[in-house]
Amino acid sequence: MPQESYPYAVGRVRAVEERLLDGSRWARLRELDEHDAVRYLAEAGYGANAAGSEPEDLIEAELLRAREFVEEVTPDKRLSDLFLLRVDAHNLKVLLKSRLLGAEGGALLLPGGGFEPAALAQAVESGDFSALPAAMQAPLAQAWELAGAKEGGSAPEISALCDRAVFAHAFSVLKGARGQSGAELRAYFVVQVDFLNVLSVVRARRLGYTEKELAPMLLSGGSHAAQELQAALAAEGRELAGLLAKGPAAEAIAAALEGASGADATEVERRMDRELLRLARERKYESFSMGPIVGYLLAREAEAKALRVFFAARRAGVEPAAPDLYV
Amino acid sequence: MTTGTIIALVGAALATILAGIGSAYGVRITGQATAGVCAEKPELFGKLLVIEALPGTQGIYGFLTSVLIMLRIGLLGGSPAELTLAQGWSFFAAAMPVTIVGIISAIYQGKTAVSAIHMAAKDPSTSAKGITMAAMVETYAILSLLVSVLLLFGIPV
Repeated sequence: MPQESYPYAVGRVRAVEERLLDGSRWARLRELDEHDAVRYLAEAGYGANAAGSEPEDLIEAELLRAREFVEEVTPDKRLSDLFLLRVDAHNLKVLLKSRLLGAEGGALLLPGGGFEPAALAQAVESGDFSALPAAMQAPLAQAWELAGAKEGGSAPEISALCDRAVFAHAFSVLKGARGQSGAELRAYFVVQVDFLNVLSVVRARRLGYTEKELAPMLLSGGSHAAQELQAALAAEGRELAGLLAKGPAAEAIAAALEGASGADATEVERRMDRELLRLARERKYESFSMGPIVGYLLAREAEAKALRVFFAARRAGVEPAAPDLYV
Repeated sequence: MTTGTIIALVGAALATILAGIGSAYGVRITGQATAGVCAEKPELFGKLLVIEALPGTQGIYGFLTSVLIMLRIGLLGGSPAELTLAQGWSFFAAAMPVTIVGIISAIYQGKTAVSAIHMAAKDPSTSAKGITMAAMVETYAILSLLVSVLLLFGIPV
């Protein structure tokens, strides 16, 4: 049950932070093969109550536990729910794309979001999004129309509309959030939108999109104007960083675009994850803000991503990259 | 009862009220932090109890000052002195250091203690360091108590 005290919430977070995989645990993990790594994680209490013994079962169970924990301790559910929107966006994409393809996507829905999967499924089934926040309704209605169209329905466009819906909701909540926590969280979401827009530009360049094709993929609320992002489509490789390195994450964006591999989507994604984790890490020692609470959730999500990469690398027989750690 | 006596009594009352409010706030937030940590690690209660209690001392200093004022003006004996206006204001002024520093230092000490509790939650071996950090704030409350007491005993009645 949510409660009101930041000292209480941060106290609980501090006490459970030691369950995060730290440098020594990662070092041990990297010495093990897949089977032993799963056993090591299970013995360390990672993914307790998992439905199965596959790595993904453990990861999903631990993520769900972290999300439920944050739901339980948060002093401001409206703010902490913004960090569960990633799950809601996933569920909305699954449901709307299932409608587009005429397939059944129920098995792919994830628990632990801000909205019950059943409620989202019902909204998508009926096309009535009035039970969802006002800022989400228009983009989702548009995505629903697209998903129902016999021809012209585009999965990437549906994905972009779902992202637009969740970010519109996030910014509308943050507009009303007062104090330090509100300002810090706003900066976090601005950085995320900036990176996602840069990512859209990089992918659009690869796919040879026109400005008109790129426009629906862009999110609002970031540091770039839509025209700036569209103009970047035609820019020379070296000019790209100069055009897109803007806003609070300008340096990280520039570094991502100037990397050895040039404008590479994977590199942009990697830099985005690192920058978002750095922002979370900056606030981890505060005692009276949302920083450590959402930081814990983001750390769990980053850890899950790193574990997926680790197990994929093990299966491919290659050495996994060292993860960026929160602790 | 003279106006001077009433002013002295207002000073005595404020010392307990304001320093007490500061301590209540400080102990409230440290109590919440301790509760949060103990919800996950109940074995740390003993280590955190001292840190939790630290912001409570300002309330005691305020109470002590109030009692000293009452003693000095003979209120506890049942026959309070007929203080002049100057004497009344002198007692009021003597109560102010512990009153003002008490409320502010208790709040800040509470916040420092919360951080110390959070530090000890992650690494219980740092609890003694946490106590030291929070206790540093106490210095100024002790100094204000000392000044209040010296002033109180310097007022001729």
